[in-house]
Amino acid sequence: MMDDKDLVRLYQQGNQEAITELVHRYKQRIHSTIYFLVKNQELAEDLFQETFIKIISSLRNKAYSEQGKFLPWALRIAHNLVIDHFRKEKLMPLQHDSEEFSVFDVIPANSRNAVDQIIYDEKIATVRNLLERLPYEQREVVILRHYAGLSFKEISKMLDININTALGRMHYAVIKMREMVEKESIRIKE
Amino acid sequence: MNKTTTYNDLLKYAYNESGLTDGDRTQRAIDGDPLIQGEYNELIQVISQLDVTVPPVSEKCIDNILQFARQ
Repeated sequence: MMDDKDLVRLYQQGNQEAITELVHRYKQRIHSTIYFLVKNQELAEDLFQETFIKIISSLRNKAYSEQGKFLPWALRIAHNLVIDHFRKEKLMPLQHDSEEFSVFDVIPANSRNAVDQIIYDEKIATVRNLLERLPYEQREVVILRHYAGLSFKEISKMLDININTALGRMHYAVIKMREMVEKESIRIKE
Repeated sequence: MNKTTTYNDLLKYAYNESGLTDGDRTQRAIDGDPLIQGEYNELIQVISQLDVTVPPVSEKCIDNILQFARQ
């Protein structure tokens, strides 16, 4: 598999296949990160598109200098766009502002059967619920580690925090999520 | 948790971020101490709750990006 650095170089030399490969290589990780930060499928897709427009513009202008670190760089662009969005809207993500969302809107009906679909809907709702109830700073670290696949070191660099702060936020998030899971299972047992 | 294994070590181990030496030390701590083992199992249980694939980006969105890249 060709590494990111070579794909960037090839695209800058005019090879379109190279950018196609980069988009497909990272679409899931970047989109998942944005999706769980903004909690809205439509907005996540808009910001995902905007992220790649910026990425492509930067590559064309040779503004990309972080050789071999494409994903952290791309995620920093995505993260800044999310923050800009919240600033523009003058709101930081609320903890319970869940929007009506159905995966039926985005997944072709014939790709899953009804039971699978219900199970999937429940699963994603559970995860969204867990993440939404975390303070933003903790949620951000969980998303960047678990869905974007950045290391704690890369997260600390991206957010300009100490690595122990990143690990500490993850630790508190785990404690909080564990409490939530326990409470939920007690409620179900009752 | 003993003196040499911290929760940060367990987090890094869970996400495959320990180096060879630290990873080995953490694994031995998990195997040798039921308290650490319990803590680690709970950690894994919590983070595995997060395992879900997000709805994919639409083909239209990908097409728009690739079209922009070709301009």
